[in-house]
Amino acid sequence: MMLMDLIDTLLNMTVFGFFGFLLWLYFIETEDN
Amino acid sequence: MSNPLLVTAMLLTGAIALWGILDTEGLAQTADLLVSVQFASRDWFIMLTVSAVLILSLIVAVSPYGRLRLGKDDERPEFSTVSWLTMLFAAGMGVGLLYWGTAEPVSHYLLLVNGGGPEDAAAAALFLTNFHWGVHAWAIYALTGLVIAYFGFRLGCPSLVSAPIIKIFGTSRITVAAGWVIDLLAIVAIAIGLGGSVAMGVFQIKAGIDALFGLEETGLGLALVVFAVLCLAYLPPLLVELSKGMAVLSNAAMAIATALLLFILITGPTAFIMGGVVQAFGDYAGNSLVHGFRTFTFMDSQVEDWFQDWTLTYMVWWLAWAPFVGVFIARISRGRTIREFILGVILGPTLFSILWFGVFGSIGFFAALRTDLPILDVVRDNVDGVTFFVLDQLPLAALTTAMVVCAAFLFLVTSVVSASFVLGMFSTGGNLDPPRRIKLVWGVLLGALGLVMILSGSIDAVRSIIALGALPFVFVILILAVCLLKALKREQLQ
Repeated sequence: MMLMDLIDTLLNMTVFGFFGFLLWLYFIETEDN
Repeated sequence: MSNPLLVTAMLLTGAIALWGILDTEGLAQTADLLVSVQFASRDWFIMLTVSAVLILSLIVAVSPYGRLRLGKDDERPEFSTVSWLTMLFAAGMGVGLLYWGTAEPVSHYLLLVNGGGPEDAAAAALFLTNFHWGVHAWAIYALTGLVIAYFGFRLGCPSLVSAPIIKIFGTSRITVAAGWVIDLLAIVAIAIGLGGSVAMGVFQIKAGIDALFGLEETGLGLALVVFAVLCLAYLPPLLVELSKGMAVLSNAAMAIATALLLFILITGPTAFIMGGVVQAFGDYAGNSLVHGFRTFTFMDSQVEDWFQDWTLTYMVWWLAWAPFVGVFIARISRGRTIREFILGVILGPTLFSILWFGVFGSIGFFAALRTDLPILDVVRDNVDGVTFFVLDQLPLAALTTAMVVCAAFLFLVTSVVSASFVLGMFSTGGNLDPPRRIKLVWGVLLGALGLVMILSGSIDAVRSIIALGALPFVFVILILAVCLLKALKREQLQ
C-alpha cells in the first residue's frame, strides 16, 4: 500500500509539473517551421 | 501498407476490440479499475484542465486576436450565420441528447433527493445536467476546432492533430515522435468514443422497439439484430461519395429531434416546462463557471463515486470526441473570425442544450413530483427506456417512439460514416480524400468496437472503456493550447 501511495503521489506531482512544462514550452524560443 | 501510423492505429484498436469480444468482462473490469484509480487521484487535474480551456478560449475571443480570420484576411464565411449555428447544433445533437434528455436529470435527482427536499433536488439535478453538456464541453470542442482551423486555414498546415506541434516546434526527432504519438492517441480516442456512442444508440433503439411492440426481456438478441441492421446501413455510404447525402440525413435527424422537443413542450405541461427551462437557464448562467472548479473533495464516498461516474466521465468523453467534432466544426467555419468562432461554438449549442434538458428534464420531474407515475423506478431499472416511458404518457406515443428510433438510427449512421472519414484522414497524413479501402476498414473497426461495448451489456461499462481511451488526450489539448498561443503571439509581431 505504501508503494502504491508513493507511486500515486509521484504521478500527481508529475501531472502538476506538466503545467510547468507547458509554461516552459510557451516561453522557449522556437522558429516558425 | 507503408504507413506505420495507420497500421499501428488499426492494430491497437483491433486488439482492443478483439480483447473485448473474447473477454468482455475482463476488458470492462480492467478499464473500470484503471479509470477509477485515475479519476480518484487526478480529478483535480481534469477539472482544472476543462476550466482552463474554457477561460482561455474566452480570453482569446475577447482579446485583439479575436479579430483574426480563420483563413486569409479577405476570406468571408462559406455559410450564413444561421445555417452555421444549425450545423453546430447538429454536431452536438448526437444520439446522447436523445438518450439522456430525461434519464440524466432524473438520475441525479435520485441521488440528490436523499439529501434535501424534492424541489431543490430537481433544480440541482437540472443544473448538473446542463453543466455536463454546457460551455465546458463546448469549450473543449471550440479550442480543438480552433487549433485545427487556425493552423489549417490560416497557416496552411495539414488537418492533423499533430500539425500545430510540428509547425511550432519544428521537425526535430522528438517533436516528430511526439506528433506521431499524439495522432495515434487522437485516433484511438475517436475510435473508442464512437464505439461507445454506437452501443448507446443501439441500446436506445432496442428499448424503443421493445416499447413500440410491447416486447419484454428481448435481451442481447434484439440489440445484436439492431447492430447488424446498423452495419448494413453504414457500410455502403463508405464505398460511394455521399457527403451531401450524409448532410441531408443528419439534418433530417435534427429536424425530427427538434419536432419532438416542440411536441413535448406543446402537449406536455407547458407552463411547468417553461418554468423549468427559465430557472435552469438562470441557475446555469449564475453558477457554471464556479462549478467547473468543484472536485467534491470534502464529500463522502457516495458523492465521490457519483462525481467520477458522471462529471469526470463526461469531461473525458468530450475530450475523446474533440478531434472528431473539432475537424467538423473547423471545416464549416472557414472565413469566420476567431471571436465569432469561439463565441458561436461555445454559446450557441449550450443555449440549445439548456432548452433541450429543460424540456425533457422538466417533463420527467413533472411525472416524479406531480403524478404517481413510477418514473424513478424506470430510471433505476431500465435507463435505456426512460425517453420512451415519458413519451408513452403523451398523445401519439407510437408515432413519437418511432420518431426517436428513427432519429437515433440516423444520428448513428451519420456519425459512423463521418468518423470513418476523419479516422481515414488522420491515419493517412491529413489526406482530405482518404481511400475507400481505408474508410471501410475503419468502419468495420468502429463496428467491432461498438459490438464489444454492446456485449459488455451496460452503459456503465461503456463509459469506463471510453474514459480509458480518452484520458491521455487531457495532456494533448493543453499542448495544443500552448501551440495556439505561441502562434498568435507571432501573428502580432508580423
